[in-house]
Amino acid sequence: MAFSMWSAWVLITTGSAGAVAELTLDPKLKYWVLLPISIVMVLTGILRQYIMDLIAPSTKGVPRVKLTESQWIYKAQALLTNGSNLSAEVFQLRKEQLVEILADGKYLVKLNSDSQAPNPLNDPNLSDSMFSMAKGNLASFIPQTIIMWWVNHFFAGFVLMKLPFPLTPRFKEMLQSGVMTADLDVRWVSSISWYFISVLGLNPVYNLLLSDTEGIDIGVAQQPPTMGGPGEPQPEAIMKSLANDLTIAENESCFDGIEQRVLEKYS
Amino acid sequence: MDATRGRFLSICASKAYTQFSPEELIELNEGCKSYMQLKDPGLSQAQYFSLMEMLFYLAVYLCKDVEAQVLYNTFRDRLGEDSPRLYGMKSTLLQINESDSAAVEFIEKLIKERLEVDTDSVSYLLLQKRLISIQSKDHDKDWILRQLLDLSEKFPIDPEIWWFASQNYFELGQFERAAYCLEEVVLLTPFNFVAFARLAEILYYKSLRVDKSGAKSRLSLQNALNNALRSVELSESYLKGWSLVALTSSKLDGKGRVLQLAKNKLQNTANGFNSQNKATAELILKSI
Repeated sequence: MAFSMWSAWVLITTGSAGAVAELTLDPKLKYWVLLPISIVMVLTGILRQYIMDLIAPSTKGVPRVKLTESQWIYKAQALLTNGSNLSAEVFQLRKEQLVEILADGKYLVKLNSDSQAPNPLNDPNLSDSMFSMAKGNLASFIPQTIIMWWVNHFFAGFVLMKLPFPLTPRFKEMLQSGVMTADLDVRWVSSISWYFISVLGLNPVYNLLLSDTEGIDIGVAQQPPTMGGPGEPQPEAIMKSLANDLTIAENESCFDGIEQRVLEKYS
Repeated sequence: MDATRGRFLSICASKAYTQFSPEELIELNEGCKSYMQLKDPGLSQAQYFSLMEMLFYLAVYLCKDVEAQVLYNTFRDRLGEDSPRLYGMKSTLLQINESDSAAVEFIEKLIKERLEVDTDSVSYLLLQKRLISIQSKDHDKDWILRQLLDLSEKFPIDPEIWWFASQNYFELGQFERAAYCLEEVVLLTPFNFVAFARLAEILYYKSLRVDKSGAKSRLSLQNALNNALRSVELSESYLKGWSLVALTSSKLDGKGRVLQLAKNKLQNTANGFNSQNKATAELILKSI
């Protein structure tokens, strides 16, 4: 089947204000160009998602001592936040205990005894993360390149459809790439532009079709993150800061006036 | 379909099935299997695996070893062995098919060789808890408490450890330590009205059995009343909370209004339709 760029019959209506080009498109373009590009784009997106799942790095573990360190920080935060659930004496007791533990750095992980800053280039975790990032980029870059070549090779120069809403002329370059006409209304979309629109606009479709792609292992997904990563405050500083916060923290117990509150609530 | 899905998922998430009677377990097992066969499109993959995990433990409770093994194999083939849930299932199957010592050996080896240096917040804790639960029947409560305290030092924000430690201290009659552990629970789960009521109960027993009489006893009773009141403040229909409010306020002077309120609430429960709650409320009302 031979397609030609101008398989459409062109109607030119002339008026006093200037020329407005109206095209009548061959209806077969819908079935042989628009639909194949759309289907291939959707299927490629789904396939890419599955490939990304397969090559996704496994959950990165941490040493147990790092978890302990983080958990003591969360414990101090819990006392600051939920301390009102305790009576004043009980809160005071826990406050003193925690301030001592945090100020002494009892559960602080001392990985570098020579106190030198770690060299990021020697960090094996960094190369792993860079490699997985490169894999992710390749998994999205390669299919896009192949499909772009496919669209360009077979469907270059087609005007496929007319958008049902008006657009400003600035969209002309985006929507009519491959069709070199200065006068054509900006609402007409070329095949290569349809490809670009699909690349940018299919995410909601993927979200609908692949709604279950979130982490399966909920327990692991919900774990609190450990602290002290690159660019984050170091645990030692957080502990010291929390110790200071706790030292000056005042307790407002929920038990103050609880009888009156309950009586008012239920009487 | 939504209601059925919600029911199974809430049973699964709350682990309520661990407290079910054999008849209820059979009913749940059959109901859940029938539901899974319907291939509910609203069930996400994570929810599907959660229900499958529940079916595994239901099969274990119902002595369907082969079914449990098949479910484990399905999980392993789809997700691989490297998952905290899978570790837990494998250790359970080792207990069933081999012995407790085989399961202990598996867990200890895993923790020592792998999880101590490369873990997540679930795996290490889950397996340590399983280890304690498997070994607890060969040891006394002091040993269990040492293990729990050691674990709570490593994972201080896990309420389950503190709750279990509190239970053990309570059984040993060490009410002050039991109360300390429960205070940790309410600190970590601030709206846990069950924990507040349990803390009130422990403080009530402390006042009766340790402090016995005098100012110290009154202080413990007042603390027990405060915690019981907090419990009912969070949950209006909590029978245990109102029972403890009634019991503690009846032993304290000048708490007539609170006592009357608690009696009214217990009377409402006694007039209700739940036969178990009705009997409990009537018993409490008679004893006050």
